[in-house]
Amino acid sequence: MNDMIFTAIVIAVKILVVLAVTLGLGAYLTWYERKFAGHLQARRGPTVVGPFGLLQPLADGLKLMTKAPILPKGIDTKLYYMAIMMALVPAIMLFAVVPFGPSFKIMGHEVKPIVANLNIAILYVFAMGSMAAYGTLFAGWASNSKYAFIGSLRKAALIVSYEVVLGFAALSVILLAGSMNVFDIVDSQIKSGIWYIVYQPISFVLFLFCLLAESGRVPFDIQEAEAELVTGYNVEYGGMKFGIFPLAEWYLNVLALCAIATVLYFGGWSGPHIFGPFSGFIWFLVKTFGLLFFVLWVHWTLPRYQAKDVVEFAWKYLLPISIVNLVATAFFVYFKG
Amino acid sequence: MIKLKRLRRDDSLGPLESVLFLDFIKGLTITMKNLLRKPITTQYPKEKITPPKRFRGKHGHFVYDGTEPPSLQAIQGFMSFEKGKSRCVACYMCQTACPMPTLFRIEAVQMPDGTKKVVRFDMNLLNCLFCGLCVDACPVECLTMSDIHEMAVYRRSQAVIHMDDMEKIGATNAKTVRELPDRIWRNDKERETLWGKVKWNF
Amino acid sequence: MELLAFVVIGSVAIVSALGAILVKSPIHVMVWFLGFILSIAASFFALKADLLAGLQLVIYAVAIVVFYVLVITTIPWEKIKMFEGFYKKELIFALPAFFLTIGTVLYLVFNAKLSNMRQMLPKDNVSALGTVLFTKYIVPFELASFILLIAMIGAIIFGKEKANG
Repeated sequence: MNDMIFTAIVIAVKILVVLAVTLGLGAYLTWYERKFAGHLQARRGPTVVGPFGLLQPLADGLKLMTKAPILPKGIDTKLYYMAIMMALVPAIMLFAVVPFGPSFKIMGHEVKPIVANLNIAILYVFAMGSMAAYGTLFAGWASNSKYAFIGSLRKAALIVSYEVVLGFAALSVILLAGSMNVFDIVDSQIKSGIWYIVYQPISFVLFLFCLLAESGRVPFDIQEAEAELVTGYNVEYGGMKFGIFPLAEWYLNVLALCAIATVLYFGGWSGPHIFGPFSGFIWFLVKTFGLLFFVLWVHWTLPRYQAKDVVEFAWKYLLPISIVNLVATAFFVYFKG
Repeated sequence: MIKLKRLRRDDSLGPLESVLFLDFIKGLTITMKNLLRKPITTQYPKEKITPPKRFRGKHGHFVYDGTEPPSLQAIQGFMSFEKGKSRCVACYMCQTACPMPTLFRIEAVQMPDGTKKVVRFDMNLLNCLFCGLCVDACPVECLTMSDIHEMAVYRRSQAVIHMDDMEKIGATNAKTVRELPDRIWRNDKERETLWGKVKWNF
Repeated sequence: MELLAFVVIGSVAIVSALGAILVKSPIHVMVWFLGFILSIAASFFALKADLLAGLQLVIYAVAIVVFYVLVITTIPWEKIKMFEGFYKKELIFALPAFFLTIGTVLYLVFNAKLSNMRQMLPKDNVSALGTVLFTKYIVPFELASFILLIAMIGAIIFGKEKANG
C-alpha cells in the first residue's frame, strides 16, 4: 500500500512538473523567439517591459486575456471552442513520453523522469504529433471563413504527407536501437558510445524537415502563409483563444519534437559528467534547446515554399529517400547481427 | 565594387548545391552574421535621430531680421514689418502653388500709412501632403519647412497652425535646419564621384 | 483500479458511439467518432496492449479520420438537401440484425470464458507481436497487404477514369 501511495505521488508530481515547465517554457519561448528574431534582423526585440523585456510574456498574456471576446457570425460555436482544446491537448500530451534525464533513486525507489514510460513511445509521438491536425482542421471549419478553411485544409494535407515520412525516418533509428522505448534508445546509444546521427544523417535531415512541417515552421508554414491567407486557420480567433494556437503549435509542438529528435539522434542525456548530479538533465536541455535554436534560425531566415510544392516534395522526394534509407539500414542491421 | 551574380528565374540549382543545401547555408550564414552584429535600430521615444536637411516637416516662417533676399529688400518699404516677426508679403503664391485649394487662409490689411500688413496666415496641416511646392513658390524666402515630424494632436482644430507658431518654428528649428550641412550632396566633387560629371549641352 | 478504468473508458466509448449515431451535423458525427476511437485506444492502454493502442491512434484516430474530416469538410453541406424525418423502412429491416447482435453479445457475456490476459501478455508486446506476425501468420498478413495494394490501385484507376471522363 505504501508503495502504491508513493507511486501515485510520484506520478502526480511528474505531471505537475511537466505541465508547469512546459507551459511556462512555452510562454517564455515567445519572448525568446521575439528577441532572437529581432537580433537576426539587427533589431533589439522586446526591451521595454522588465529587464531585457523579460516580463513581456506576462504583458502579452494579460493583453490577450483582457481583450473583448468576439465571436464571428455563422460559426459552429461548440467546435469553435473545442478546436482550441484539440490543438492544445496533443501538444501537451507529447511531453508525456519525453525523458528529461537518467533514472535516479528517491527513498529506495527508482524514479524515471518521464510521465509515461511506454513501450511504443515513438509511435505515440507520431500519433500525438498528427492529432494536432484536428485542432487546425476544426478551427478552420468552425470559424466559417474561407481563409481559415483553406489554411486548415493545407495543414491537413501537410500532416498526412509528412507523418508518413516522419515515420519512415524514425523507423531506421528504431531498427538500430531495436526498441521503441525512449529509455532503451538512449541506453543503446550510450552503450555503443556513438550517437545515431553518425549512422543516420539522412534520416536526421528528413526528421528535421518533418519537424518543421508538423509544427508549421518556415519553410513549410503554408497553413498560415501571411501573404495569402492572413494568418491561416486562426484568423477568426481573438484574444487568448488565438494565443493558444501559436503556443500549442509553434512552441509546445516544436519543443516536444526537438526533445524527441534529441532522444533519437543525439543520445538523449548522454554527455560528460561536468555538472555534477544534474549533468544528465542539463545535457538533455542543452541539446533540445540547440535544436530549437536551429529551428528558429531557419524560421527567420528562409522564404516559404509554395503550397503545391510542399506536398509534392514530401511524396516525390522525401518518401522514396526515407524508404531507401530504411531498407539500407535494415540490411546493415541484419548483416551486422 | 559590388559583384552581382545575375540568375535567371528558371535556373535550377546544381546537383551538389541541392543535395548539401548550400543555398540554405548561405542564407543561414547571413542571418547569423546579423545576429552577431549590433542592432541598428533607434529606441524611438528615448532617442531620436535628426532628420536630413531636405526633410519636409512642419512649416515655418522666416522672420524679418536683416537676412532678407534682394527680392524682399526691394519691396520692404511697402510692407509694415516688425523685427522678429514674419516676413510674409501675402502674395498668395503659396496658395496658388498648393495642390490643395483649401489649405491656406491668408489675409492682409492696409495700414493707415499705406503699408501692407499680413494679419492671418493659417495652414490646415490635415490637408497638407508635404510636397514642398509652397516653399518653392515663395518669392521672398519666407515660408520654409522644418524637421519637426511629431505632429500628432488631439483635436482637428489643433492641426491648424497659425502665423505665430510658424514664426516660432522659423526662428528655431527652421533656422538650424538651414545651417545644417547637406547630408546627401555635401559638395559637387562628392556628387561627381557618385553620379559622374554633369555635362551641359550648350 | 482496473475496473474503474474499464467502467470510465467503456462508458465514454458507449456515449460517444451513441453520439456518432444520433447527432445530425456530419462534422459533429466525426468528432464523436473520434472520441469513440480514442476511448478504444485508451482501453487498449488500460489492458497494457501498448502496440495495439499506438496503432489504433496512428491509423484510425489520425490517418483515417483525418481523411474523413477532409472529405466531409470540403462538401458544401448547406447546398445538399438533408433528409428530414424518420427512417421507417430501414428501422424495420435493421431490427432483426439488432436483436441478433444483442443476443450474440449476451451469449458471449454469460457463457464465454475470458482468457486471463495478465499471464499471457509478454512484457515487450511490440517484438512479440512482430514475431508472431512474421512467422505464424505471415501468409494472412501478406495476403492482407496484397489485397490492400490491389484496392489502392483500383481506387487510383477509378479516380483516373473520373478525372478523364
